[in-house]
Amino acid sequence: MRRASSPHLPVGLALAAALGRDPRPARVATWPLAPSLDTVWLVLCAAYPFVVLNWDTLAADDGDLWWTLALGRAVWETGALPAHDPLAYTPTDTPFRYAQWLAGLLLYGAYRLGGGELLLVLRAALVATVFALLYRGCRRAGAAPPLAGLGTLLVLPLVNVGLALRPQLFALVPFVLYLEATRHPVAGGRWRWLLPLVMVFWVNVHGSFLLGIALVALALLARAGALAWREGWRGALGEPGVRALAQLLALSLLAPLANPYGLDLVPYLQTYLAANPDHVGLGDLLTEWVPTSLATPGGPAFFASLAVLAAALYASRQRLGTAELLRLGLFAGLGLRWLRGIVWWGLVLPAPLAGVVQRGWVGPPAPAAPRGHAGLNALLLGAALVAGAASLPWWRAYYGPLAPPLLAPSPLVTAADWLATQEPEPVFHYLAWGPYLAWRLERPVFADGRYEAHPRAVFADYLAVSEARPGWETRLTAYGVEWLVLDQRAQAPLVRAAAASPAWQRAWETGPLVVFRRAPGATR
Amino acid sequence: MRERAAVAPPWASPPWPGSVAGWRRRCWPLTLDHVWLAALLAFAWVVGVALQADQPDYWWTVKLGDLLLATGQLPTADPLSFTATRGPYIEQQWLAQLVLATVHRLGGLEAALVLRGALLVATTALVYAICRWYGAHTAAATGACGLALLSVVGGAAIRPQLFALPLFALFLLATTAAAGRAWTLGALPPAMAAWANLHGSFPLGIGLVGLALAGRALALPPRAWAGDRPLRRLALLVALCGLAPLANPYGLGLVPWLVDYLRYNTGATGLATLSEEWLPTSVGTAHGVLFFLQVALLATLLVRVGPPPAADCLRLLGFAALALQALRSTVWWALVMAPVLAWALTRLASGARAPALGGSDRRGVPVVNALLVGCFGLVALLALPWLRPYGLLFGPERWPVQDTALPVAAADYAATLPATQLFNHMDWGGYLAWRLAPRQRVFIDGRFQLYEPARYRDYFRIARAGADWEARLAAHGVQALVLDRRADAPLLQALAASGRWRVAYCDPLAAVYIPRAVDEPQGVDCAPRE
Repeated sequence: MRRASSPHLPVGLALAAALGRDPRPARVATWPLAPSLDTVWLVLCAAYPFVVLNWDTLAADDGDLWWTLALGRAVWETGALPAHDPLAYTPTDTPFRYAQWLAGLLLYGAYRLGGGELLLVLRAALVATVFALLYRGCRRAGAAPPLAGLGTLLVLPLVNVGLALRPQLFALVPFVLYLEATRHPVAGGRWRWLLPLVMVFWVNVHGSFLLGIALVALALLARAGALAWREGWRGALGEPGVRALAQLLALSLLAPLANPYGLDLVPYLQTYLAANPDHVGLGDLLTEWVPTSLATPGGPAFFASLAVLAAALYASRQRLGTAELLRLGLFAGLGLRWLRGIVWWGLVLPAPLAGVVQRGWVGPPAPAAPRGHAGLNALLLGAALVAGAASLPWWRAYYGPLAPPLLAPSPLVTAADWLATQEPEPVFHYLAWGPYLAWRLERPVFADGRYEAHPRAVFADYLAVSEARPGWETRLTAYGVEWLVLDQRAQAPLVRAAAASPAWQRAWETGPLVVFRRAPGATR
Repeated sequence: MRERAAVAPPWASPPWPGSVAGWRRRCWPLTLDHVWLAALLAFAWVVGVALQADQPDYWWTVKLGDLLLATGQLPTADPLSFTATRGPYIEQQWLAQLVLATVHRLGGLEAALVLRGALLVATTALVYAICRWYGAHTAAATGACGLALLSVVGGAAIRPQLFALPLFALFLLATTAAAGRAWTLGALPPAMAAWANLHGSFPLGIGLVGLALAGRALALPPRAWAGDRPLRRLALLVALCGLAPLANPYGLGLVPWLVDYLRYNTGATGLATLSEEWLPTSVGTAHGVLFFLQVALLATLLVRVGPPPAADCLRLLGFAALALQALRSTVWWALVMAPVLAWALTRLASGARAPALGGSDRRGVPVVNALLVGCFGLVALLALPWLRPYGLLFGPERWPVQDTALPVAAADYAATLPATQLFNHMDWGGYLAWRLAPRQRVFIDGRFQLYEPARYRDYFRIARAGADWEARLAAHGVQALVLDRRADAPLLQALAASGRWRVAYCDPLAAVYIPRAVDEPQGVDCAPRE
């Protein structure tokens, strides 16, 4: 493997890089009055997603946000992790484990503190941090500032697949930190020992912490294997990088035990990974677990990125090291297998791609990055900061009709507001609307977007009732359902059946949404 | 950095096989090369004759061919369905319909299976020949062709596309191993004319010639183009193959039909893609997994042994993009990929020392070789579908000749009805048309581009008992329904509840409904199957 030398101090660890100082005295002496080109590109890389995401809108049918908030509220209000699923009146898998409790608390805490606006800003800030780290990764791979900046920004269509407001959002920064730590295992000094703490955070916000362990194991395998091939196992085991990775692996394997459920987390993860990809009968409700193709969101960008990498490797005649190839292979496979895997591929790709292009086409990295024109740099930096500040959602009221609404208008919002005044008893609903109803009505619903939370029989019942198969009313009665909140497009047979049945009466209708309630005196 | 010359493959100037005597010398005594080849061809044959003829496309193809044979002329309107079809009505695949109908008349489904086996053997043999002219070892060539065959099987349903497989392999041979040779000028244009009357994939042949031309041009400095004979021949071949498709009954009228065919099936008309084979490729299907594994394997090997020349890169990229776009195109990718894979495997195994082109590698023991070749021949013989009832190699229960999910008995019953307009389960449209048309006509079948998108929307609304399903049935003048008791469950429930239809026939697979008079009983219970 040919490794490019960094133009800066070998600060390999992204955590250290994010917090560290630029080694060149001139820059330290003149900053911030004379920002370097490097600083400008770093800020641009962070500012672009920050501005774009601040300008976004919350959607009522964005399921994961609302059940995360609802669960966070349950934990916040009780001060304890729930022993039973508080969001569903239907059977749930027991014992109930709320593994992502910290993400729920953080999101709900932000909501309490600053409403939906702060949620948007929190996401934008997290993603901006991720892009800043990606930029540093590209620079460390040897890319000059413009190339590193472009390489970072071009992966936005890939990363965008995983930027919904939900627990996974908190996993992005830990992932990039682990990624950079495994690329440069001996760098980072004492900051390196903070990574197990990052893993503790990761395990309590999202189940993707396994990827961090996989990254370390993969890097260790590749590094030790390559050294053992050349120098034998004795030499390999004594190498500082191998030792550092082995220690990191050991600590990263122990760190996940620091969760409220201890080893009981393992069966939860097994259920999670088995249940979600398996719910194929739910049609387009589980799009992020479908295999990636040209027709899926992010699919064209994914395949284009594979082609770009292949073309760059072919044209530049550069070779990647075993560890990098293994990483790219693993995450390309993940992206191919599940649409939601594209986001990790997008995080892994920029550094090796930018490095290959730099070495193959532009030439070896200069020992010191060009500083550019100081005035122009300051102007760009100022513009980026102004754009970032101006994009904050609290200013939307001043922009008038130009600004998007904080919560997108939707029949679901209107209906939920009305339903809240009715204090409805158990509601059967279109599955994608369950999370918002649970959040808005503050009552358990039939099911929400956590497909791992329920036994398969619940979803089989959902499908049978939605298609108005024989016995649909019996099934509803068995669950004690008194209200139906239906989508006329997705549940047309049930809407017709309920309209024809004397046991139900139409109570509300707006757009494709129709609400039925059980007719007074109807036999159950 | 590797030198370009050092990784250049040895097929830059492949020798063409010599005289008949040379061929004879190659065939005896039997070597291990022959054993590998016999194993590969036997595999292709067995795959071709063993898999059942389960595709709906077969039945309407044979039916249209039957009607061609009976009338002696091309129809000007669709003779199978009663619903309005899109115009103008063009039977581009008339030659394939004629051949399949003739074969079916001669020997039924069994003969069709044998035809498929023969076409797969021809395709495999051609690709194997390319691999060998690329300098691949026999084992590598066999492995690469076997891997490609796994993908080819997915596109080898008994339908017009089947005839395109050996033609594609022929064009591949003529644009790789034999690129720029004189005989290709005489052979390819007639083959292209035949292809244009057999299946709509004929532009791929023109594409292959064009890619070979581009590859050759890229490999030469521009000043050498004028003096390069192979380049001139390839350019002429592009022109001839571009003109050859005009030798069809519709002349230039075929072009708009072809454009429409591609747009319709890829969802450009606003209708969702109806057939899985037209969906973009992903690892969600077995053939998608196979495709991506092939890509990964080839990419890994090429990283190790170096990139192939420009023409092969163009071919690989072009057909990989095509395969990503639609699952059905993985077939073409596999055929294009096999020779490069075989070469890369050989190069990986032998370093830079590639074997002599087309030469034998190991002789083995001739008697043992002959015995093994005989065994493969025996297996091929025992795989004949006419021997299926004896269970010698494949038991008739596990390997039925005909798809067991076809509504044979329901069609028998429907044939007793007076002239009727049938609403049918879509996958059965071809079979019902074969059995019943033109006396009974179907609502819809698998010829997707034939019907207006609105027809399919109507079909799905009715099949799912959507709003106004009965009014839509009435608007189309439907007089009977032949439904799948599993797939059409919502409609079966709606029919039972409406009171205006009664069960006329019911078996575990299918149900036939006809209108119910006021005083008629409801009929037998024919509930949907879970």
